Order: sequence, then structure tokens, then C-alpha cells
Amino acid sequence: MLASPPRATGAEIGTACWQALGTAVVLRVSPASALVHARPLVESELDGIDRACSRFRADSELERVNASAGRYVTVSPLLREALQTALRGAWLTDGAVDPALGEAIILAGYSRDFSELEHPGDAAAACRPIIGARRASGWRLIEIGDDPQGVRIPAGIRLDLGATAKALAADRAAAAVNEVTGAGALVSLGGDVATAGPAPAGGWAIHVTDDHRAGPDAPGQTITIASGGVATSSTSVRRWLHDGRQMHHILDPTTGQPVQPVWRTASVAASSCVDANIASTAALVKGSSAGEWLSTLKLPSRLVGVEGDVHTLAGWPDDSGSPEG
Amino acid sequence: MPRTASNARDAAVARLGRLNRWLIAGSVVITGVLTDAAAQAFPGHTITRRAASLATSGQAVATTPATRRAHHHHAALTPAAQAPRSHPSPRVVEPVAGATPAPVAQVPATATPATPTPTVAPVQVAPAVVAPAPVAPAPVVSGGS
Repeated sequence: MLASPPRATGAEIGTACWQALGTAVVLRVSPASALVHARPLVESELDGIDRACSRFRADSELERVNASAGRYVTVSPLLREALQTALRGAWLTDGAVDPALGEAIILAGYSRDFSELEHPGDAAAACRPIIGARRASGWRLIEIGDDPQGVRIPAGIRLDLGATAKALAADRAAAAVNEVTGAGALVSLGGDVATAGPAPAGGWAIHVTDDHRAGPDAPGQTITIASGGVATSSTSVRRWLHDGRQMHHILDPTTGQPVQPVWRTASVAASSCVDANIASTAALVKGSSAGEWLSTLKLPSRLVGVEGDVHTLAGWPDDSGSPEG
Repeated sequence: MPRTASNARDAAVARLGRLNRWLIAGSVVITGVLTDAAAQAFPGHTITRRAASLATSGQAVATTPATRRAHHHHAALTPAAQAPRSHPSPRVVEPVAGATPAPVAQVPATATPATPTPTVAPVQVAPAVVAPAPVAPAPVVSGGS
């Protein structure tokens, strides 16, 4: 039996950065002495999520479920949790965050890891109309069994847990670090930020901007949070050309095509990274009704319009007021 | 056979036929009502076990969508206990090219610099020796990915 690591003490913040799940990982712990024990915990969580939920791995559980559409498939507790998380997001957003858009995103040309997306998709996909992916509310037909822990998706549907699975991974990783080391932890996966445990003095500093790769000096706003998570969704990143059209990865479930952006970027702070991610993604899909929806939920949010106009809602600290880029 | 007897028999057969049709229709309706009542009363478990047993035999099964019976358990999206705050980082003034170096710090001796008293001469104060503050890491970036 492995001895549990000593409870971390001290004041400094330790940071580690690396690549996983096709994106940038940032791990921060307070105190810094916990870092040596924290990183393996995060790596283990991310590896588990990758094996369970990746649509880019032929050997992932998700791909096994997608290949078995119409049949009941036994799955691990982790994939079951990820699927329940995704379906919760769909329910709470009335389908704006839809995990059943896997076929639509492939038809839109996003058929492999984004780093490999140099060509606008294969010819067969380009010839098929995107309307073929329309199956609105297909997520309502997804079944989750209790005993054994299995799932069944309807024939003709492919799951893409993308956003919610990444946020879930961040939440789980931060919680694992705090549980094992006792340290305060922040885990960022491609800009989806989760925290757990005590925050450092002054809170965790987070800079929200259009693109998580842009760095803390990019146009945006810097805030601090004491707990919970922050997520930012944007239509200005992860764009590609397909069939002569510029695409992005935020799809409108009612059309199966990229949303016509009212907001180019939405940042939300919530009690968890998953909740923040669900809300920020839904805000882009909901468009002009997003502000009222977020205000009703009392979720502090920052919406940036396509022209760079900034709107802060529900307790998000005031911005400088100057439009962005 | 007398004609009247034949007519009476035909009428009785017709009545029996109508009664039979009503009985069939009634049984269908009652079966539907009872089935719906049972489905509402026992959602999930029986269906799930059937799914499990059939899954082992490799058959596709039709079950009640789990989401239908589970949506009552979906907790709402919730804000954090404490709203985010503005980052209190001081504004950094970029040095201007060609500017002369700043003079030695001179701090007025009075505690209220807004109402300076000309009778008190400024006192030159040596820069205080301050222990270097721990360097705060740059903010983590949350952006689209």
C-alpha cells in the first residue's frame, strides 16, 4: 500500500505546464511543496478521461459506444459520469449544449485532432450536405442503465463529449489534488479553469480573453476567484475551412452548423468548471437571449460581442468599459 | 325453420357480435391504462434489468430513455459561493523613451500632503529597504480553445 503524501505546507504557489488532451494544461498549487505529488494525480485523471471520452482515439470507450449505436454497451463509471454530465448540460440548456452532435461536427470537417486539421476534410464528407446531421434533440434518446452501467445511443447518432468532458476532467483533477495533498489547486485545461481547496491569499488570478493561447497580456480582463471554476467559450478560435466555408466548433443543434455569432466570446464563473463551461457554451448558442438567461441563473458572466463590445452580468466585476479589439 | 325463429337467431348473433367487439375494445383500453399506470409507478428498474439480461444475449433492446426518468435529478447551474473580483494588480507605467531618470524619492514630512505647509522643509528620506515580495505568477488564461 502506498503511503499518502505529507500534507503540504507553505505559502508559495507552484506551477506546472504541459500538453494533454490536445490542449495546454496548467496546474497551480498552493503551497508549492504539493506540486511534486499533484502533477501525477492530474496526469492520471487526464489519462483516464482521454481513454474514456476521446473521439480521436479509436480505442476509447466513447468510440466503442459510437460504433455500437443502437445497442446497449457496458461502460466504465468514468464514461458514465461524463455522459451524465453532458446530458445534464443538455437538459439545463434545453439542448443548446448537445452531446449528440458528433456526426455534425465531423460533417463540418472536424474529423480528427485539430492539430492535424490542415486539409478541409475528406471528399466524401464534403459532398454530403450538413443537413444530413440534423437530428435535433437526439440526446433525449440516449439511455443510461443502472445495472450494469451501460449506455445505448440511437442509431445514426455519434457522441461528442468535447467541452463538458474537458471541464469535468479539470474539476476531477483539482479535487483529486486537494483531496490527496490538502493543498489548494487550480487546473486549467485549454482555458477551462477548475479550483479546489483553499485559494492563495488574494485568490486565483485568471485572465479572460478570446484565445487561451494568447497569454495574460492579450486584450481581456483579469479577475480573481476564491473557489469554483471559470470557463470561456469563443467562436474566434478553432476555426477551419471546409468546403469553401469558414467553420468553427460551436454548433447550433437546431441546424447542425456553426452558430451565427452574436457573441464572439463568453466567460462564466460558477461553482464548478463544468457548470461554467455549460453556461459559456450555451451563451454562444443562445445568442441574443444569453444575457437574460445568465442573469436569471445569477451566473457572473462576461460577454464580448462580435464588434468587441463588452457586457458584464450578474456580479462579474466591471470591466474598464473599453471595447476589445 | 320458421322465418321468425331464423330472424330471432340472426338478431341474437348480431347482438353477441356487438357485445364481443365492445369487450375487445374495452380490454384494449383497460390494458393500455394499466400499462401506463405501471410504467409511471415503476420507472426504470424493471426495464433496466430487462435491458441488462438482453444485453448479455447480444440483442438490441428498447428501453425507456434514461434521461426521461432522470431529469428530475439534474441540479441547476449554480454560481460560486463568492463572485469573482477584479484583480488588484497595480497599473504598470511603461517607461518613456528618452525620459530622464526619476529623481531621488523625496517624501514630504507632513502626513497630509494635500495641505502642504510651506514652513516645513522637505526632508530627504533614504529609500527603505524592503524584503522582496514573493513574485506572484502571471494569471492563468481562460480563453476559447
